[in-house]
Amino acid sequence: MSKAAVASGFAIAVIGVLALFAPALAPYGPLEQDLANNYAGPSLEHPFGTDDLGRDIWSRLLFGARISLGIAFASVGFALVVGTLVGLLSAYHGGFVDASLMRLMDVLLAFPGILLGIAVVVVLGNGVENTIIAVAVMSTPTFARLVRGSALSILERDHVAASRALGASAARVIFGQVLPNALTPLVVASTLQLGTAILIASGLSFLGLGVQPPHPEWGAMLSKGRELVRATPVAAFAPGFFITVLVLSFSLLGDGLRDVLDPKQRGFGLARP
Amino acid sequence: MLRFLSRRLLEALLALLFTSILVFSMIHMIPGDPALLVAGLEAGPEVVERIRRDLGLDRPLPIQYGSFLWNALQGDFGVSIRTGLPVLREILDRFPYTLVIALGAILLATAMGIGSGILAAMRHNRLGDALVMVAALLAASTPSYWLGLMMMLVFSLFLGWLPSIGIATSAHYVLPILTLGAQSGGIISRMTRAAMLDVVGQDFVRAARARGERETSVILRHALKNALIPVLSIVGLRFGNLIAGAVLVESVFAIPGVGRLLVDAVLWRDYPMIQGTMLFVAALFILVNAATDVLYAVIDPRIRGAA
Repeated sequence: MSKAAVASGFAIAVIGVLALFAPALAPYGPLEQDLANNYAGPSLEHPFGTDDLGRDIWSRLLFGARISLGIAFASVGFALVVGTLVGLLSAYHGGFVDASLMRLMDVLLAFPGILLGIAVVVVLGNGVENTIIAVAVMSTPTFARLVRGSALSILERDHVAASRALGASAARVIFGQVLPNALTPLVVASTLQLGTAILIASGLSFLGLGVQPPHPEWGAMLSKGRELVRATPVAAFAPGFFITVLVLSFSLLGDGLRDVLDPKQRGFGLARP
Repeated sequence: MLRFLSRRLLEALLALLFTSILVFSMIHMIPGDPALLVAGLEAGPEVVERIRRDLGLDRPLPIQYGSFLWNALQGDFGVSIRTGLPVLREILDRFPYTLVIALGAILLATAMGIGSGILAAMRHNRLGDALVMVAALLAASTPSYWLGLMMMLVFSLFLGWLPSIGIATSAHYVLPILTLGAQSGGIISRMTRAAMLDVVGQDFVRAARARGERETSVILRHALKNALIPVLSIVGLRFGNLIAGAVLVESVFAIPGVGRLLVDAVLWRDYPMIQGTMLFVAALFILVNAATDVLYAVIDPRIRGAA
């Protein structure tokens, strides 16, 4: 695997550990206010300074990592399961089921991600759970198309034809033969999609449509940082820096995994905007 | 060609139709009474009843959708709850800001992307190539809402070269255009490099070299012409994305474009405005993508058969 991909994996692991142990590592609580000490610059007590309410930015970043990574993994996990089922169903059934499901997926894909996210928020409202659903809806078609594609080619193979001829049930063929052989591209796509998920979820929160303050989600923190950019530039810099590191790392790691696992496919190492 | 054209147009029409269904159903999927949603929470019961009658919300859904579509086709998206003005008028008032930023961004991204992509390909596996590729990767992966803030921090607050927010003078357009164009520039740069490297290995380029043509002539006359075909299609597809991406960039720089209009409409629960702006942006996106595909087929005849 390339050095960039290894470094990316390492960066993700570090942020993951920080998120996991945030309560132990953070010097302050994420909502803990100290109004006498607001707009403080970086110091030993507050490595990234404090915001307008005197909250410690470093502690908020650590707790924010839990929310941002949590949303990314939950939404991609959700999309992975639903998308895989849709793709398998489509490939196995063919005909009308296939045509209508894929049309639906095409429509979702034809929408720019952020717009689809906003549409879901309009219907469901904001908050952590609804942000997860919004990002999951946006990510599902990618997995459905991918699984359908690989499933169709696997269904053509001799060993599948043989087990069908032997009278294997649909479920047995799909979960016993097709799915295991379609896993590699799914691993790669999930990694790439995690970057996109963080990008869109933070974008929604930045617009005020996703996770709401006072939760320390990175996009919401960045939106606050925009207002505070004159008083404390660190508040605008730090959350976006971490978002960028995660987005870039998932892209590079996904690309690295693809080169190792699936050398025939080549990508550009970019999250879908 | 005619078959390809009609097929692609039919696809675009279908996508538009689905989009309109999606935008129409959005308001009916929200829990609660749609008439109350449109009237706003402060409206009295008689206002709610009037809106229910005016908008035909007491009629069956398919009929409601039919009149929604019919009105939309005639440019009637209803009236904004917040301002009382026709939705389309507000959109058209705001659209020039979005269009200028998106056009500026795509021009910048195309020029920078193709230029740096060619440079990287000509310096393949050397320092220049590596530098361009790292820059392109960073440009393409940095979220626009952060990039914009950082540029504002550096160029407006620290250096004082450019205004930070608003859209009063032409200098106000510089940072938003740079911010919006960066991602596409990075993507186009990587595409151009890959396409150039692909073409440079082919026989007709080797033949041109063998004839003793100068390297610049080989690159510009032979390789570039062929490499640009896939790149141009990416440029078109990016343009559609830029209009949607303006939603974020307009919020960073407080620009009163269509994107900001949409976000404000969501925050204010101005449902006719949400529907109007969503339909407008999505329709632009679909039409630009369809136009790109058609142009692509005009330039490269091989596509027509394959589609």
